Amino acid sequence: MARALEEMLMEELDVLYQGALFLSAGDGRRAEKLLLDTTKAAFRGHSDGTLTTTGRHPLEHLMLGRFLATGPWRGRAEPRPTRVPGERRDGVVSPDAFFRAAGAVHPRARAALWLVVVRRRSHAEAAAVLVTDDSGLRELLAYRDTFVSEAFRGSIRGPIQAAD
Amino acid sequence: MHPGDMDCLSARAGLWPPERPRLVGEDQARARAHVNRCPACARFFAQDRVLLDGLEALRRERAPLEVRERVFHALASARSRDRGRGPVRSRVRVRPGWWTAAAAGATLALVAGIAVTTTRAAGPRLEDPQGAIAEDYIRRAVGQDFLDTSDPREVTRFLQRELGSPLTPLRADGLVVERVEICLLDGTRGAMIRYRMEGRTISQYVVPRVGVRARPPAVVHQRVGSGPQAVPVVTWADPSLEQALVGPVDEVRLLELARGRERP
Repeated sequence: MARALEEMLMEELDVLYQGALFLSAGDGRRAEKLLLDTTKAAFRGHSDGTLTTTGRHPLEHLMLGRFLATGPWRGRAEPRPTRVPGERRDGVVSPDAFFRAAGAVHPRARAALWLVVVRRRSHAEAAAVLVTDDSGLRELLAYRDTFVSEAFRGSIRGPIQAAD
Repeated sequence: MHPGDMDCLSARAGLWPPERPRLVGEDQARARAHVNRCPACARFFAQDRVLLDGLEALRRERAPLEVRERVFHALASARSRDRGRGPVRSRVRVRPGWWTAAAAGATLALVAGIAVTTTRAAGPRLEDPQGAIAEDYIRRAVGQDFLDTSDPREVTRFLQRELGSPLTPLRADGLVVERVEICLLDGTRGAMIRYRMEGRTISQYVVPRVGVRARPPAVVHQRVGSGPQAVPVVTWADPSLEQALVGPVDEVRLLELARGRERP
């Protein structure tokens, strides 16, 4: 049964907000812009029947699509992930540290990390949302190391020790 | 790597996310066997466990009130602009009738008063009073605050908490407070106090403002839409509040109620 858009928004708004902040690397203004853009796109899709109203997280998937399709990074080559040696990998990571760390990776990788690391989606589900295959997703998730290093760097609470 | 062993990426993908219960099939058993033997994969999942507390805190982040308001305002604006272009699939319905026109009139009057008396840049203005009502309806659908009470002191405490304004409800013989709720008027957070008098509902709209020019209560005949009907609305202001009173009673009576208000 088709759901009202207001109902969908009410259910997903907090997750959308978290996701928008993550995709915008913690920039509140850009995050809100993404949220509003998603809302308007959702209205257009809901009105003309192209927006899926059943299933899980339709607005979150729409927002990811809008983020990847409308950013200034369209068509740019993705940089190779950098290896970060000797970083501390424990301690409590704050939400702000996660958001800022997302800015250290390429936007498509950011979207993949949001789905897999933060939202805990299976690889198959994340690949479907990002319209890629398993190997494509693995390339994006290769940025996980960089992201995690930056996240811990932002919230480090202990002595530095060598990692593998 | 053992013969028949899985590679690291496949093993990690097969057991992802690790906290989710799963039926153990052959692939999961092989993945688990690999992780049990692979120090790098064991460190990968151990590191992921360390992240979980932080991720849990991230998932508790709520969209702030002002962001929620702007999102639903954007939706209401989109609906307003789309009116007349075909059916809109939504559960938001503006019921026709006197009350709708009255609320629209109060909204218009307040908006007009705010435009004259404030220099603050507001959000996008709604041209359509029915759009303003839809916006207010959606605003309440967000699950924002309201209070059903007949105690004027509770209304005052509610308004102090929600708007920073310790307004005392109107007092008059036979006038009973029923409810107070937050509403959104032209993108600004205000409140509506609902009263009951002689079986009729009267609404008082309150919008906090800074630097408003004070003016005494006066009746405004607010035309709504293209129809001939003009709705009497009483509006007044002091330096911190714009107010309006509307209801299915004689306008002289409305004016008396507004003039007879008591402030703390």
